[in-house]
Amino acid sequence: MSKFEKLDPIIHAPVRLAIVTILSQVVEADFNYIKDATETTDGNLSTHLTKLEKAEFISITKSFSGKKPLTTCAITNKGRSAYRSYLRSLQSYLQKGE
Amino acid sequence: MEEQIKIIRDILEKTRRNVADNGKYFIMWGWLTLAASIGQYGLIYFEMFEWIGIMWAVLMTSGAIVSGVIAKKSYTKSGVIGYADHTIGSLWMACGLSIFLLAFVGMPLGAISIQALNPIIMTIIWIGVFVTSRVIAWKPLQWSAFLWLAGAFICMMIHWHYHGLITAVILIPGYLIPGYAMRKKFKSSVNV
Repeated sequence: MSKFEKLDPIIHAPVRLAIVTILSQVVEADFNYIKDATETTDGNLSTHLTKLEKAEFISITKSFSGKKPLTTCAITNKGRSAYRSYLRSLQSYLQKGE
Repeated sequence: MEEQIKIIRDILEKTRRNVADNGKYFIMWGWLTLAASIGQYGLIYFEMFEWIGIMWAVLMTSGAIVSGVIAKKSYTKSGVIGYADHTIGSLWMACGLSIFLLAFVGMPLGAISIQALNPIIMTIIWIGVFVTSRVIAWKPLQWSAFLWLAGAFICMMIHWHYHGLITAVILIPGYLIPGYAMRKKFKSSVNV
């Protein structure tokens, strides 16, 4: 049996993969933008963002835009490198699966 | 595994559609600089030389403040800062600060002559427009950029009294026309 590279379980969950993919493409994005792009609920998104932040894959900044609270997210170097490894692993699965 | 591939593909497709409306900055700065350039020629014509620097300082500072407000509003509305926008914003901030230093510090101190100022500023604008055209991968803007380089060359050849007029002429195809074209392109991409 051929050996597969392990897929990072933190990134592998669909919503978290979508979040990390978004943040890998931009300098930063706010909570509402990520919510619209991932088509998820506030509560669900908060849970996944917290998991990614605990793993130090993303950084979350809370501020205010006028009187409205603003949550901004950005990918960290650790997160970017984990995402690249994840893509490499995914690629190896696909190649071996062909 | 197919689900993960589909997620990545869908998200990349969504983020690719995030083209910033750079046209509005070109339009705003285009009209502002056109007014200042024609104003400069008018002030020279009426021999009100002492007002030239003040007029430019007021108009350019107002432009910088309005640009900052537009950028903040755009970010609040879109909720995202792309790498292209970030690069273009940083580039024009560097160009603006360089022009400010040369015009409002270098010239009053006598380090830069009034004859050399416009060619240097046009060369800085050429860099800004050219790199912007490369970052947004839009070839028509690249041709507009070359007009600034040509303008800088022309200004080296003629007396500084006419530099305002040359700038005004270059501004229309070098800033305003591409600005409106970019805005149209942006609106059609948003409506897709």
